[in-house]
Amino acid sequence: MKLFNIWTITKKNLNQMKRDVRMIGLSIFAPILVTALFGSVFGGDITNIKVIVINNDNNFEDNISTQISDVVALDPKIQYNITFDPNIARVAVNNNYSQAAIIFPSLFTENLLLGKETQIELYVSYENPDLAEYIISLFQISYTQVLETYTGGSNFSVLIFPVHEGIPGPLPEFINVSLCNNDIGWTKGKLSDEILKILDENGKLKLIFSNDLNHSETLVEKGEIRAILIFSENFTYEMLTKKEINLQVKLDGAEPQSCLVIMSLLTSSLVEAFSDEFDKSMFNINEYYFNNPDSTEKPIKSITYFTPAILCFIVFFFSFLLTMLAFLRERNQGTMERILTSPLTRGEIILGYILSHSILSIVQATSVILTTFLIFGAQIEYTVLSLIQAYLIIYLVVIGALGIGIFLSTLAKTEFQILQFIPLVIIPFMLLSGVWAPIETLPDWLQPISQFIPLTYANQAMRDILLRKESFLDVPIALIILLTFAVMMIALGIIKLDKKLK
Amino acid sequence: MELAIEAIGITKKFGGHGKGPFKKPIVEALKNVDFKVKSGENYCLLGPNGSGKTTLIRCVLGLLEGEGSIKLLGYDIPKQRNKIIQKIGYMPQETSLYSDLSVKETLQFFARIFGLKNREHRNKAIETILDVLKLKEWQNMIVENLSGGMKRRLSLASSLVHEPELILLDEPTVGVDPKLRLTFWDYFNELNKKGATILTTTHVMDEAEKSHIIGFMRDGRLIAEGSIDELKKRIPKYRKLTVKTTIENTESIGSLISKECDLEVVPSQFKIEVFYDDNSMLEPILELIKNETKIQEIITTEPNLEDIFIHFSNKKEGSIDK
Ligand SMILES: Nc1ncnc2c1ncn2[C@@H]1O[C@H](COP(=O)(O)OP(=O)(O)O)[C@@H](O)[C@H]1O
Ligand SMILES: [Mg+2]
Repeated sequence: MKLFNIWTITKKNLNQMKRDVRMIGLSIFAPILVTALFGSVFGGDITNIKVIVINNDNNFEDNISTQISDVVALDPKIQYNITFDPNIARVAVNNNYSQAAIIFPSLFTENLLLGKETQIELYVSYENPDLAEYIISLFQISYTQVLETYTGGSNFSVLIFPVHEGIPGPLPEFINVSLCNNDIGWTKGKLSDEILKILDENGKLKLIFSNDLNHSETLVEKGEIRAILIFSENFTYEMLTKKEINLQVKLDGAEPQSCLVIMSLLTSSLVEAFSDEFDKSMFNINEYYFNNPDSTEKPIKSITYFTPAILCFIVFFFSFLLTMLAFLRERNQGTMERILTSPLTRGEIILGYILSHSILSIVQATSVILTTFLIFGAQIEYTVLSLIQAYLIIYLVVIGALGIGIFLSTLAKTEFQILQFIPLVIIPFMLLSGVWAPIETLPDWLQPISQFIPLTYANQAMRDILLRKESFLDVPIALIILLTFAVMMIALGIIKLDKKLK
Repeated sequence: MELAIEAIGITKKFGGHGKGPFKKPIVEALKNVDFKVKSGENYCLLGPNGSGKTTLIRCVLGLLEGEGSIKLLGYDIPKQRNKIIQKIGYMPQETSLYSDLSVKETLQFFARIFGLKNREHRNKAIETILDVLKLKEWQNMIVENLSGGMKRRLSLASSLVHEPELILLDEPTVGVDPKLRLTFWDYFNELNKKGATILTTTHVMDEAEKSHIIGFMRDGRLIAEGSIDELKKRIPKYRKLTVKTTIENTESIGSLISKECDLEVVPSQFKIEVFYDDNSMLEPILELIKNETKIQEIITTEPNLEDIFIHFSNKKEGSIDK
């Protein structure tokens, strides 16, 4: 193994890259484009939710229905229209012109104030279940807030009509939530248990009971648990005496999608648990988000969430593809025949390639980091140490990608056959490694598969380091797996690069 | 004398993998070939396309694995290849160059991988080879933009830049114009005089004559080898009578002569060739021809390489003729 020989290969590759202006451009701008697309397409930051309000309740100046609609509209994500024809609304939801429709019956305010029975209809599109949950809980919170001021009747119900139900979406299978239940109860028993029962029956959250708040907080900060629900000592007491529901939730802000799911599950179970009380009580959910350097009131932006994974994915994708193409070219243009009859060893060839490709990957990674940071305002606080560790992970990813690339290039004879590896390797790697949604949102049967994809561990480690400010010491298993994978792939590449023509 | 190449009992088969209808047919590209090249020789393997020349060179270099034992410069291939690999220069049949490097970068790369570590030494070697192969004025040009002949020269330069002792050139003059061909051969002879062992392959007869030793290949066998003079002498009937006729088809006359006089005859269009060793045979042959057609022209010559090749090819089977 001679440095001189390794550098010879690297230098040749760099000379080739330097000529290929298009490739240089592509390797710098493609990551920027991908980042921008990821950020806007899978943004997760829900905006422009179209909600139609059909208000037939029109015999008062200051309708309660209008007040409720106004509160709903306060949410910046909601864009709402008012119409008077319920059919238009239903059609709109059916055809996805609108995500939801709220229908207030005539005499709604009057009946409510007189304590007569009345009913609101809510049509919600379940095409995006997360969004549906969000709309429902937003609506529940809104009317609860408005009705707090009216001590009158509570004789009304909400009928929810799910539209487009059953279309599979990324619904979480299990989210680990820790629970600190300090509620000592009151004569009637513990009201907190009722909420927990509903949450438990729902099955999406895996509740872990704990009394050690500090420990739970570290676990959330490290991303091992997504949230802590904290019921205070006086939870039942305050509820029964002051009509106040005080609840504290501490969440892992580094997983915005899980946070959204947890919050909507929580509000809907609160409403369900206290359906006969809610209009008289005041909800007071105190949210606290860890791992968001900007604010403790909300989770990180989705672009922040994507950045670490895009880093790994882009670098993997390009190294893999370019290695396959480069080795195929060496073989097809006959230069491999010359190299194989030269004193170069296989190890030197591979190391030379690793070096040139990692230079390329570092350029790409830097372009992703700069774009997300400067243009899209990713909330990541980079330190010298975290950057070094991030680049080391990238290095491991490059090595692994190179090994698979060399191996698979021997199975292809033409560039066209290389293209066929994209759906075989790239797409599963992209979808199953948790690039834009946490692994826990994958269907049950896919989750074990993602455990076999090395990029999963790279994404995890990268998120832990960049978003949760952890270090290599906190992610030993991911590192060992990545390292083993890299070594195995290189070994495979070396075997395939046997000093013979095939 | 020392042997630069010693290959014994080389057999190489391609194909044969796959099952049922997908089974690839087995091609036996080399059939138990014994092949030796002495140090300092200028050897040319001559044979039609597909006769196994490239396969033999690749086997000798250890690029392909076959049966048999191979020694290069006294070392076992592939086991001890590392010991002598730096002393070997190989030019593959197809122009194998990086199309996106410049001429100079290409030579830098190949000089470096063949161990020219000292920068001054390396640059000097590159200058020299650029001069010899007249590539100097193109040295900054990208390979992609070179003409076919220039690419060929660069391919040759890439194989020779490290001044190898043993030079293996697979069809070095394919696609090269006649003038440049001569330059190439002069250069090979010069290198040979300086002590390099050279092995070339070709499918063109007059090319082979430029080498000292010629080996005939056909259907995966080395059917004869030696210098041209030796080979000529090995043909028992080594004079050739060519008679031009007025009839086109000379097949029947041919078979008549070969039956009556027991001689090797090659009939062709408006022409018939007879190999003989005794001048007294001329009379009866011409007599036989005259009976069938009008004679236009009579020439007697020594046989050329082509004739020798045909002679050895017609000899059925048998191992190498020495
Ligand atoms: N990689 C290969 N796979 C299958 N058959 C091959 C391969 N290489 C050569 N052959 C076959 O071996 C025979 C000899 O080929 P080759 O050595 O290239 O001949 P030459 O160089 O004399 O033209 C041919 O029949 C050719 O088809
Ligand atoms: Mg050939």
